[in-house]
Amino acid sequence: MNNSKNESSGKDYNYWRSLKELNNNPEAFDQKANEFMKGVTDDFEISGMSPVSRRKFLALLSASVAFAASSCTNYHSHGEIIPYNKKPEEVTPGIPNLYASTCTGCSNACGILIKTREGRPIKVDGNPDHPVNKGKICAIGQASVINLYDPNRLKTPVAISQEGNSSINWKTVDEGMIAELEKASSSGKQIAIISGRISSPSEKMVLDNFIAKYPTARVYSYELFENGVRNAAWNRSYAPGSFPLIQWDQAKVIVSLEGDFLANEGHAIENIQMFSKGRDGFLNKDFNRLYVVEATMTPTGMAADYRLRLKPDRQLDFVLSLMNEIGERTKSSIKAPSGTSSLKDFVKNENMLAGTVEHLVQDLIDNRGSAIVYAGSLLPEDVHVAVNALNEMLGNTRLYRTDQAEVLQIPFAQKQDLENLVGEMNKGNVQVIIHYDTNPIFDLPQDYGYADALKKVPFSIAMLEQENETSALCRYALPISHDFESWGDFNTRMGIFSLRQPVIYPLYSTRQKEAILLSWASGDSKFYKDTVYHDFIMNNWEKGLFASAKSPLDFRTFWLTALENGVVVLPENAPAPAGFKAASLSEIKPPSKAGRYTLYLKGNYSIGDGRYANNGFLQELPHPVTKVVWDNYAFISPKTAEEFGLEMNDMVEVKVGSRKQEFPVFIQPGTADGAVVVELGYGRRKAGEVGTGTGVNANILMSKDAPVTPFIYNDAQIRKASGAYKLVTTQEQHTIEDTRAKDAHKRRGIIREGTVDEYKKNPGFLEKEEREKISMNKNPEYLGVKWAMGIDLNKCVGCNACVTACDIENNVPVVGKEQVDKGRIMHWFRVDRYYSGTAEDPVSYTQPMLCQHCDTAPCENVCPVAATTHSPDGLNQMVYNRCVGTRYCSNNCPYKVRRFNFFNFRDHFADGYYLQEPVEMVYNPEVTVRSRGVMEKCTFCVQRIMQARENAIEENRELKGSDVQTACQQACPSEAIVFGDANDPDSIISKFRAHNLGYHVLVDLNTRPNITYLAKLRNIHPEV
Amino acid sequence: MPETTKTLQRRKFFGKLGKGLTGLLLLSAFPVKFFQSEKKEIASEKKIRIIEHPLAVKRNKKGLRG
Repeated sequence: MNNSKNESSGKDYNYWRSLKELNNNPEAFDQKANEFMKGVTDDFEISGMSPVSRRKFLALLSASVAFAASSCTNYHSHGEIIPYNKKPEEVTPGIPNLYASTCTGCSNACGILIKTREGRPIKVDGNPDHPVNKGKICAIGQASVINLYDPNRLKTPVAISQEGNSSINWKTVDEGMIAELEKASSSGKQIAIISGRISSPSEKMVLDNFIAKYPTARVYSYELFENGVRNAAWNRSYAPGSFPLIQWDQAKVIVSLEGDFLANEGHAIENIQMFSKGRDGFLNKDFNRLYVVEATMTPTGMAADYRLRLKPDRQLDFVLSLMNEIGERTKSSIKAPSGTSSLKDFVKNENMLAGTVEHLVQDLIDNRGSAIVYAGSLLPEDVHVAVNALNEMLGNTRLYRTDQAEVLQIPFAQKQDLENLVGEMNKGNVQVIIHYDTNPIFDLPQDYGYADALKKVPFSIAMLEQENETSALCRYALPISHDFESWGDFNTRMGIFSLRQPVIYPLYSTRQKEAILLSWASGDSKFYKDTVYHDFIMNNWEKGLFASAKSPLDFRTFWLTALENGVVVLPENAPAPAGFKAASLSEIKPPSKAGRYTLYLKGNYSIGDGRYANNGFLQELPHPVTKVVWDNYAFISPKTAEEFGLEMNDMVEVKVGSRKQEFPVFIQPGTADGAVVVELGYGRRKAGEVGTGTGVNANILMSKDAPVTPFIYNDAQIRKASGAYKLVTTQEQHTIEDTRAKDAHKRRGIIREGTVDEYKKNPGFLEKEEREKISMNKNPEYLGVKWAMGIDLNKCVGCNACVTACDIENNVPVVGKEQVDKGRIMHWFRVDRYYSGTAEDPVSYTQPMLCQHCDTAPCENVCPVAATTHSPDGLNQMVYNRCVGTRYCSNNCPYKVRRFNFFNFRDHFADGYYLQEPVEMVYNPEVTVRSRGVMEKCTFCVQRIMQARENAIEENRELKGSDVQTACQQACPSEAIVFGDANDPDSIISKFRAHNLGYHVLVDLNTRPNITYLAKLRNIHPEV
Repeated sequence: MPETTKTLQRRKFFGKLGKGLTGLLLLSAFPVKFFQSEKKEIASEKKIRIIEHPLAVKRNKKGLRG
């Protein structure tokens, strides 16, 4: 079908959102035709109502009211409101405070600002002073505030026994532990500390002090996802050290091999910021070109200009054959190992797109020194060695950063170390084992035999925030303080030291894990006090960092300034890389013989390695590619599905060696044939009320002796299993009302796109709608500020940080899987994902969608009680206490951005899980907490607009558009979202609206939306 | 049924209702509360208390929004 909007490109774009749409499945169109899912109104069937007469009903009603009134004396009471008797100096009611700190949601240690109201942390955003993340954090960081108030947190130390758990006090713990540690040390038995990544120099010193006191102590540091393989390959190719960081912003061509660097590889936030500098649709400087070669669709793959499908166990052959080809063409002195296949044969055998591969090779050659080939951290070491050689061959080492490098305080334990530990545990040589906020029983491959070995250790303890699979087998579970209750310092990059400070006293009887070790290392059970670790860090900083900084300030001022800023930067250059060792190539082993099917286990994008499984906000965050919530599944290609007669929601059994597991099937367009991809971190047995039992445990398929890596199994066997499992996805929900035609998205101009080349030749190629439309509504006039938003689709990578930030800022509830299935997800902000092309090799698009705050909004006219109105500054407002829940506004909204509270979801979800204390403390007091029967939607963060207006009045000046930053804009790492005053001709939003690439969605409906999108440009070769 | 009978039945119903309510009022502690002390236990050990950390350093830099 012709596309009037994208016609100038001469291409016939065929947009589709799911395989059902592509195959003209009537189910897909039924869902689109009805804005509300089937079953939505089941609860309100009139014929099912009780046949009690009106008279009887009224009599019963009046009697009930009378009884209630006589017996309930204070049912309105939600507790006392007591003014401060002695107001803390730092707190002014109604005014938020900001505290700089550090996030430990992952190992990147991003700088954050914690916003508190009346002493309660309510929001987390990036620290703009931190030189790495520069004011941005990911969705996990945004949602970390919920973890503080999680009702399932351990509140006191617990003694675990078969008869049942019992609370104990810290005095008993300290006395018992010190006695055990001394006993172990004096008898020569090992004291094992199982920790995660240690990023803190002070924490390292705590561990060193502990080992000095108890010489038989040993630290085993591990993470499920880390850079160990990449660093080991670097050591082989160059010299001991860490793999260097990459200047993504300087790269003209990027080839990513299973490297999801825009989502969960390396420092994703920094990567997105740097990458998006080469994707700026607004400034339209030279665009970079991204090639992605991967097994299944990822956010990085969705941002690619060219994408190739390849199973992960074939990547080594691919890189070597690339080296072969490029080496021949460039006459390089670096040669691929002998026996490497030719690229042409490889492409043919693997059924890859030959034209795309040719472009890839030529682009790498033409951009030598300005290109980079990047391998994902889960690929085998030999792939990384080959990629190092390829980059060396092309002179791409110029893009390795010399201004910064990663720092690892304690090296990770290797497989041999962990095997030795388990061996010692089995022999009875380990007296005490301390799980230092880790969960090895869930994380480690089961063939280590860790769980059985742990039962043989006489004294095992777990330090953790919430009970997990490991603590269930320990003697004591000791509650540790949350990040926001803890001190800390972090050094993950050379020369950059960030601080973590507690913004509140611990809510429960918890202690910092570092402070616990310090008190045990003292040998005195009365040693502990609240400030023990604070004093320790201050002492370290005075002797170490302060001395190096040679600051003119006295130490106290230096310390307080550092706490205020959150970070101290001492410029320190990375060491220059040593020469390349060509002999490393000869050490590459030929890849093991591949079976037909490959199982690929990888990380997910929201709950980490499973540690955030109990965070409902992260569980309900739609997957950036599949939009599935609350589950994991097996990604398989349409062809592989057809081979096994599999359909969506069928079950598939995946077997590797003697280990097998069944997963629900998700047929993912763009997946390599023969690849089965599953995300780890789900199926936890002990993860709190929300996380337990969510998804399927794929960790049991891992093996420490895997032929390729613990994440890649090229000898997998798959078969169709019995039964079905409903996966809930939001991708079919809230679809914009288009006609029953799968390419209506292009006809209606919801996605507008082009290529960089055609934009350069003809900047006006978009051919925007100019026709003046007649409207029954009077066009509103905005005399002062008029708020509007712009979104650059070139920069958006679909990371979902905006969605989470909006949820936390605006008190959006979690509804649960069952309600999402009925189309009742409450996110005000969604990121739509579209495909075009074929199911085998689709091209993807992401489009953030929120209330468009239309000038002539169709929702405003139809509200019978005027609960939705238009403000003088251009906002489409919602008056919650007028709303009676007709849902006519939502029915009329063509963008489907309105959300209705079918229940009081805080009460409805998981038996009132989020009604428990102290969850209500997370609510932003500036935003109404909506209850049942009320419509809600994006308000352009009207609370922030009002605050800015009050500040302007106080300062006796005019309100400017730049005074306000919406939560989504503040969170977006790539700065894809701009917001401001459309009436100010100098504002960036005015320039967005006037931009050649700027367009509005469904403009032909004459709603006059105030969100301007910049069309997506692909940087592809002109002849494609 | 004749209207007067209905009226009698209604009167009896509301009479019983009123007597029941009066009895409940007498039985409940409500009137006693008027004579009780206003002091209530406001803070208990089990309630979660938010206490700002005294050593935390607030950020005073201008130019931050939100």
